[in-house]
Amino acid sequence: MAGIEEGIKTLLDAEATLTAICSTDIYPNKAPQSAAFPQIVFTQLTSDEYNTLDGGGDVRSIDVDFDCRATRSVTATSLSAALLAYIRDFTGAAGAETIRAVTVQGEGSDYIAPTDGSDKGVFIKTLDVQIQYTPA
Amino acid sequence: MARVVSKGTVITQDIAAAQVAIAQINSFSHSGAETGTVDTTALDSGVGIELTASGHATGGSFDFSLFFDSELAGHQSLSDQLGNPIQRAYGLTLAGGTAITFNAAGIGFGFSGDVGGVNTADVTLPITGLMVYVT
Repeated sequence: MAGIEEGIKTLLDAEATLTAICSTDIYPNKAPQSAAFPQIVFTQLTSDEYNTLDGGGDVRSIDVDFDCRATRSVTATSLSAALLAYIRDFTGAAGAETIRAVTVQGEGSDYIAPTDGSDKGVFIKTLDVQIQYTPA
Repeated sequence: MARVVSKGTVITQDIAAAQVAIAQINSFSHSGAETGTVDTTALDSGVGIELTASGHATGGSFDFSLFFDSELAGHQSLSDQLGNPIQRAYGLTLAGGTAITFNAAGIGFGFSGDVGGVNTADVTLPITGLMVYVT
């Protein structure tokens, strides 16, 4: 793990309003099977490089989905709300990277039904966020 | 014969008698250059309109867009021209090394931004005379 993924992980791991709900169960791309719920799994979807004739710029833009997962709907919603409140206007250091602007693009929900015939599925609240940052 | 990539093109402006590169340009275009004509269609001409070369040509305009940084001296120099509208020399060096020069009689300048984007500026340079093309 390196770059902005590490930066986001570092940033969220240090935020008390999130760790009060999900500890540091915050993962890029995929949570390990052993990870506890609730958890946050974030995935970079796209990037925009703002290229110029004289080379790459000092700002990149990425779209990131944050999946807030919990075994109870109300917990997934609380985790998503805490994440939204923290990150929506965040600027500053994220690990070695520097976040310049965060723009929330949308929110959605999902439910993963259990495969063992039980009633214990996973509730997901997803935040779609654009992050503009200066790479280290 | 070769395809000349656009990345690496350098556009310069005259600052204190030196050509200085303008940073953060992301696109450019030259348009509107054309030779002048005179309509010499007479009453007894055929169906087709008859045009005759006037012996002059218009240089058109050179436009470019950039990621605008108002703290950058080279960008300030562009907007400063609105308050000091004089003829100015510009240069264009294509990525293959070809150099083209021209003079602009003034400038058009505007900038914009939007949520989720970065600030950009659009520059229009009305060319006086003609570009000095490679021939």
